[in-house]
Amino acid sequence: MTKIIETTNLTKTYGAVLAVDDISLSVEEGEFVTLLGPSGCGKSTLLRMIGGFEDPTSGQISLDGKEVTHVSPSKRAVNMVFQDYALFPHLSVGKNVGYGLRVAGMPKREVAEKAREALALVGLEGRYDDSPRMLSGGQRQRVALARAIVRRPKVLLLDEPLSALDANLREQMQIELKHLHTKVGLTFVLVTHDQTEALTMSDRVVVMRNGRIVQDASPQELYESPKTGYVAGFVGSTNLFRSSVTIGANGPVIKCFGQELAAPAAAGALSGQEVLFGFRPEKAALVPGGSEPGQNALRGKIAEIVYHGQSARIAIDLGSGQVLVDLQISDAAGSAAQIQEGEEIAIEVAPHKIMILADEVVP
Amino acid sequence: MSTSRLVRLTRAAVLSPPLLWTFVFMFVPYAILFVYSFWVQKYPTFVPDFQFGNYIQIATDPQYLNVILRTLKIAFFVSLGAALIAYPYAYFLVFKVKRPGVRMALYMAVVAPLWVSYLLRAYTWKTILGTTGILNSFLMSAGVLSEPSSVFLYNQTAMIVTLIYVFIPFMVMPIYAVLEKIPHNLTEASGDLGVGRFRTFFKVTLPLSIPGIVAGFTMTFCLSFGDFIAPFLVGGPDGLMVANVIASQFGASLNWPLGSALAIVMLMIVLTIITISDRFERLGQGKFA
Amino acid sequence: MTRATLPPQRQRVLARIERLSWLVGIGLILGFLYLPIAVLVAYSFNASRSLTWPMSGLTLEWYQKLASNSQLIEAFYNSIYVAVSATALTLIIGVPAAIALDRIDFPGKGLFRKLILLPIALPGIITGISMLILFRAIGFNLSLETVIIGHATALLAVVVTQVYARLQRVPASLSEASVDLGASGLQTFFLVTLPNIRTAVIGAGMLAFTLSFDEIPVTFFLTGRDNTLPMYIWSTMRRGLTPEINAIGTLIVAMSIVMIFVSVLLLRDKKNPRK
Repeated sequence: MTKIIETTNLTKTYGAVLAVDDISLSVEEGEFVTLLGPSGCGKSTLLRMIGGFEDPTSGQISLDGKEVTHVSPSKRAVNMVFQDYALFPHLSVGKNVGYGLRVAGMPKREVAEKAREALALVGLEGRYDDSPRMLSGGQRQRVALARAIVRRPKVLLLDEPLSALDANLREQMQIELKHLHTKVGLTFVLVTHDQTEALTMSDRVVVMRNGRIVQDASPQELYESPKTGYVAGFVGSTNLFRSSVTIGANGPVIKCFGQELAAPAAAGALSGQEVLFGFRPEKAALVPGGSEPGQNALRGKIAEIVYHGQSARIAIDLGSGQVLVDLQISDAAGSAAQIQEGEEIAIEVAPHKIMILADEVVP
Repeated sequence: MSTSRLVRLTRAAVLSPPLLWTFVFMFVPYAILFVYSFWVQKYPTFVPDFQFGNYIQIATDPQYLNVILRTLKIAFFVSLGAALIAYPYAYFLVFKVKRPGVRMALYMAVVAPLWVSYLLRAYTWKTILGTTGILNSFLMSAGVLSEPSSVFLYNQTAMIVTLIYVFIPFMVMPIYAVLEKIPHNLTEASGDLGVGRFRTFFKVTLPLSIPGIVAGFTMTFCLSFGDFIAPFLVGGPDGLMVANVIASQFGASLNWPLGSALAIVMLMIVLTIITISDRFERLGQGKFA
Repeated sequence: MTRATLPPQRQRVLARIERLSWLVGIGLILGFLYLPIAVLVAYSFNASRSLTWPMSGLTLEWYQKLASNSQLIEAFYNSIYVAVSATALTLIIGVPAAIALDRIDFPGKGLFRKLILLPIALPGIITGISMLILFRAIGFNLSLETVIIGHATALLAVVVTQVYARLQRVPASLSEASVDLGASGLQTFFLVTLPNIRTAVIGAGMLAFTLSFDEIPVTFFLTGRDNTLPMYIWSTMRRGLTPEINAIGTLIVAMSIVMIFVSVLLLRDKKNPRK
């Protein structure tokens, strides 16, 4: 597969502010890549540089093998869906979608035909003559998509496309975007701060922070094997704790808030060091009342139970710290439904479910 | 074409005409005006020099000083009068008129006179107030006067009335705009807290409308300060304002240096007032923003 | 004690008194505003030359005199010529100026803005004198063309404020989207930016036209041999009161009413959806 986008040592500064710090990223043709991070991490700036709306301070951008670092957006085979959709209020929906084609000199009839096709792709063919004012937020977004797709660009850039929609619509649109990607076969690069979106839709997620890439992996890998404490905390939730590694009779041993736990095998190589560890709330298992907890158990008092419908999140006070554990309510044996705040409780965490995490280098 | 090059060329194209125009027709004229104010009159015209004589003359000759003070006084009373009339009108429109159609109509009614020639609107007062005019003949036919009175025209009061008449719409517009922006729930909340309507007005509405009052007052003051039409039409001999004096320097007297100096003085006064009012406006906004 | 604490009967009476005094006040203000205009129109039909009350009778004599007044008619056409030219010029300079102020950062921007907006609050006489000095200094003779330049300069502020205010409500993402879809800067301006500020441009244009037509202080100092209408009226006034002035005035009032209607109609079109 060809590299459709390649950035090399891309940097952008605004005066004293370093927005994008030496980023080298590549995207394969047909991929759905998401740039994920909190506001201010540089993801939008990076996207805008790929689109041509910001001039890089240094570094290079190539699209489909051609260098385009300082080329105007009108000359790049890339199209953007803006956060506020940027639909032209003085043109009808159909004319909006056909705008790029008209400007390129295509005859009117062909333009209308292609515009209708694009609108059909997003399910809005009946709205050709309507004014954008008459459409709902979700519909406007689909028009913006149609407008960007109709020119069959090599890459589609999406700048926080779902942030203006309400929760229900957002879920629906995530699925629709994924379907559209499969149907049309273009390369998608999406920017968002919502990790659920990133996990649901992408082939690959690039987590950014302070202008740098922290981890670049598939959603599964990101979730199961986060590299750093930051990624572990940003994508899903994680119980983080520091511990020094000692070698015990059965292998490496660590302490979680003062209580001993068997560590994953790989921790053996880090003997004597202070390392950051973590485990996800749903990876811990409740020890049913009455049975004897196994090797890797944590004992504590239930501080709080927060009900989430099919599961409950339980905060357990271990003495020198707190951990969160998610339990399914549907589980009959040792069910979460039977526990109460203030009770003593034991949970088990299997060693292979404990993650070894690196610390951030915070610039 | 690269992004930066395209952007730079577009900027140059957009910026050049306005910048050029502003430079040639606004900056340069003021600069020359400033330079001329230091020149000196020499029969039959005037010659380059660098002397403060014109300014000294303005500051010391009571003739010029009086005119400036008189103009300031008149501008002040005009602005005050216009404000006192415009404010209740705007207040009524915003707070007492419920139907938007009626409100629009009344707003247009007060703004419409602006579309009629300024010269004519000032002129009509000449016809109304004159000795052979309508006011006099009306009062005579009503038996109030036995012969026409010349007291109505050709004095400062006539000028003030005329200018107030002209500037009322200028006052209504900013006050209306600022009153309209006051959220209704503010006055409701005040009433809800047990504050009487008068006090609500003085403590809530009035302070919030200060930026509009200041804007209208400033514009009216500056424009009446520089007016020469009303004095010419209804002012009479002791109704001369600064603008008339300046105009005559560029006319018969052919004393352009003195005229320029007077113009610079007028410019300074107006700029000072605008700066002060800007501070005032920001004060009013800062307090309640 | 507030009004709310009075018995309901008293409250209603007070409310009615208040309502009445408001209406009387508004009536007086409107009367004050329109009385002179009414007088002007009424006395343009007055049979005698005097302005005494009551009117002596009705006649169209003064209007007939106007129609045969060649100087007046020439001044009228001059005013149209000046107003149209000045409006076109001030729009061509003013719209880019507003765009520059909204979107471009450049050195001297603050000074540029202040200079452009100055003529609004500055008495016209200063603008007029300074431009007179400029033209004399470069040896330009006064003519209708100098008047046009003077008007265009003084009216820039009107165009810039109106268009700038409207531009602020047009998101920058629209131009970015246009360029993203392949349009050049010029195409973006004509296809996207301009249509979205259309009402402001039209409104500013109409306002500029009206102000130019009635302009006096700047025109006073920049007029050459040819008069504009206000200058002609001014010179007539110097010679004393004549009923013809009432007639001209009434015609101008009529024209103003037409202009108001036209502007309301033109601006209303925007609300209808385009095909």
